[in-house]
Amino acid sequence: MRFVVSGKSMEPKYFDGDKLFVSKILYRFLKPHRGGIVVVHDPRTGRLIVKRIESVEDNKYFVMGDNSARSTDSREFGVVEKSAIVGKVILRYSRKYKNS
Amino acid sequence: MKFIKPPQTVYAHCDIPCGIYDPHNAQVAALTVIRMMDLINESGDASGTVPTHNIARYAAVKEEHAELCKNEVRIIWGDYFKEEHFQENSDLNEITHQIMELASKARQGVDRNIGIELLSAVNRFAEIFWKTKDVETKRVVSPYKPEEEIIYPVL
Repeated sequence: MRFVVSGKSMEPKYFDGDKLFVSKILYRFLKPHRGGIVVVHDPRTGRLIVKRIESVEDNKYFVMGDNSARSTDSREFGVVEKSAIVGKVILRYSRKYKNS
Repeated sequence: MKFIKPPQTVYAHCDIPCGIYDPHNAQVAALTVIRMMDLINESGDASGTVPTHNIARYAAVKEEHAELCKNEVRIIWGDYFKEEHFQENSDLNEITHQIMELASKARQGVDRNIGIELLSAVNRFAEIFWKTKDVETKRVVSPYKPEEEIIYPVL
C-alpha cells in the first residue's frame, strides 16, 4: 500500500509529503518488533497514523513519533493492539521537499 | 494512469500545532553565552574555592544556553520553515548549520569571537524568520551586558 505522510512527528526520518510503501502482509507472518515503523489506527479516532514501535509487552505496542517533542502518540493515547497495526513501512519512494 | 489511486494520507501528527515560534529565545541564549565567556575571561586564572566555584557556574550556564540556542533554532528550522522559505532564502540551511557548529564550539571554549559569530548567525536567522512574516526588523544594542547588537522585530 502507498501512503503520503502528513505532519512532522516522524522527522528526521520521514518528512511531510514523503511517500511510503507499507507492507500489510509482513505482519501476518512476523511479529511487529521494537524499532519498526508502522502505520496504525489511532485508537481514539481510527485515523491512520505513522509511528515507531518503542516497546512491546504482552502483544501491546507502545508507539512514538521520532520527533517526540512534536508528536501525539502512546504517551497520550496508550498502547495499541496488534489488530490496530495496518502494516510496516518498507521504504520511502518519494520526497516532496528536496531540502528536507 | 487514472486507474492508479493516489496514496492514502497517513498522519505523523501532533495534536497541538501551537504555531508559536520566535527566535528571541535563541538570541537571548547567544547573548548569555557571550556574557558567560566574558565573566570567565574576566576571572583570569583566579584560584581559590569561591572563584573556582564561580567559574564552574559560568561554564555550566554557558553550556546550557549554547544547547538551548541550538534547540530553539532547530525547532524553528524543522517546524516553522517551509519549502518556499528555503527557496526564497538560499542561505537558510547554511546559517542553521553554522549555528549548530558555532554553538558547539562555544560550549568547548571561551573565545569571545566564537560567541560573537554565533550571535551574528542567530541574528541572520532571526532576520530571515521575521522576513517570512513580513515583519520589519531593526538592529539594537542589548540594553544589558554584553551590550551586543541584536535583531528586533518592529511590531
